Amino acid sequence: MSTYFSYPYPVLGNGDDIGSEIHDPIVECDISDETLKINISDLYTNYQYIDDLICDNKAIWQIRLLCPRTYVRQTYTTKDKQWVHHCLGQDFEGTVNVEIQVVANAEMPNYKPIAMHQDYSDTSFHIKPGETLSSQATYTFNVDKDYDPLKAPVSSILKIRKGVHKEGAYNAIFEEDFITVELSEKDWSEYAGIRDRIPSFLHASIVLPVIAEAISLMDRFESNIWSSRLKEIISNKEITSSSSYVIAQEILNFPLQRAFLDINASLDKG
Amino acid sequence: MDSLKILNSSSLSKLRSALLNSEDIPELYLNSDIRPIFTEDCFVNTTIKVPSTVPNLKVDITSDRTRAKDDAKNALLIYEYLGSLSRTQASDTRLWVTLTHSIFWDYTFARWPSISKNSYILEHWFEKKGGGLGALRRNSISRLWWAAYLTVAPWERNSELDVFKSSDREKYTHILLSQQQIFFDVLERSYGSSDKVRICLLDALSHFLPKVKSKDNLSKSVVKKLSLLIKHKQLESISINSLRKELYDLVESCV
Repeated sequence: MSTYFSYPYPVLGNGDDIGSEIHDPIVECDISDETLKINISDLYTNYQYIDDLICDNKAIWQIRLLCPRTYVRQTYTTKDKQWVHHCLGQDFEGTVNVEIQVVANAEMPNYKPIAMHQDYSDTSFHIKPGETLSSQATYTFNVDKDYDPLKAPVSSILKIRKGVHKEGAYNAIFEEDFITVELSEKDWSEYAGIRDRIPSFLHASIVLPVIAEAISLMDRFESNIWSSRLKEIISNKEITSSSSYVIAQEILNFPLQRAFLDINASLDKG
Repeated sequence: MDSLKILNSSSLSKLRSALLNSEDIPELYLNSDIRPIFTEDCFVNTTIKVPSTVPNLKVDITSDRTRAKDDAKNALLIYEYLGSLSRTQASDTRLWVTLTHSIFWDYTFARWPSISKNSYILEHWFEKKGGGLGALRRNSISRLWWAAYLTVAPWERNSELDVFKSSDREKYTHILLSQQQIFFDVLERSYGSSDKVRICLLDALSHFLPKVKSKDNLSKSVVKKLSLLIKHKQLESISINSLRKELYDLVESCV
């Protein structure tokens, strides 16, 4: 959770403003059509100075729920170590962010955290209610009521269909809820003959480059269903590479290798 | 009351695809007299009930500036027509594309006439996907519904806003849509999604807008200062009265 922003006073977790690591809380979400249950536990910073301020009601945990697709931005505060909240399921769709941080809950004329960076010397600060005291932890999850992330087939994010052009290159459309690949009429008729016989070839030739590009476009299209599903697939598979081509190959279970094996087997059969 | 029918995903996809795949502006969008034709199997039923009489949205086409003049009135008419949809229903692209391509086809043409690029059509007749907060706020009809939904009698949905209770339930809709710049500065910024920040900001603006010559410049200056302030201050965590004063002072400092 190490970030850096220039605040007018030291902020826990903001670079080396304060010589202490901040503890990350645990966030769990339970999603159904009717409700969205959010359970946040382990709400403590592990930095005594701020944890004491929370106990004294001078600081407070702020929890913000953001859902850009449905224009939700709800903010709650708590001083407890656990926070459970039920939201109306119909208020959320697509990407939901949970932002957690500590904010001042009272005016503090002599705010002087221990272990401040030496540049602050012996200075004390005048903090007002609402001012940020710790950096923000952000957790993202996906509210997608019709989707089973355990299956996560590529067909849940990408569709192939016949385009209106007679021949030539295929198009990939990312602007819709599902990525759509449009084949020329000529390619479509060939595609129909091959998709059930050597599907791995289609993965290697069509799906792989499109998914690789989609990975690089995920943030730009964050409100599209395909983007949140793709993020979830990557997260479930615990892929650590930063290369979109490597990630795409892992998602598709190494399609080139599978295509080589399938084509060779097909050729061997004669 | 009738059940509203909306285009199914496949019809929507074809419509959008025809636009995205065309280098030129499709003929359909060059002349409002040409209307899209859909067969019965292009639609799916919804649970949304609407009156049988469609509201008559007005646009003063004298100039680009006058075209926005009736936005607030139109927003309230659309809100009355569609009612209080759930947020999930109101985030469904199919609903808004159906409306711009059917009963509000003429209105959309009159309100958004500067068609020179396909992306303009995508924004105002469809939903500009990947456009973040701007996406739903650009469609010709969804922008009106969301503007009203987020501002009509806000104290009825959030008791913290009781301090703003007024006999004029539509006061904040009129302020929000009084200037395109304000609409943009409030609804296309993340803080504008917060009921508290949105209403406190609109309330503060309402006090000072009559006192300035350039309302757009006031809104721009306020946004600049507000964007700096929220980098270190979490406005939603302070009391409604403190927030109200904070934003009042901020707007006053920009006058």
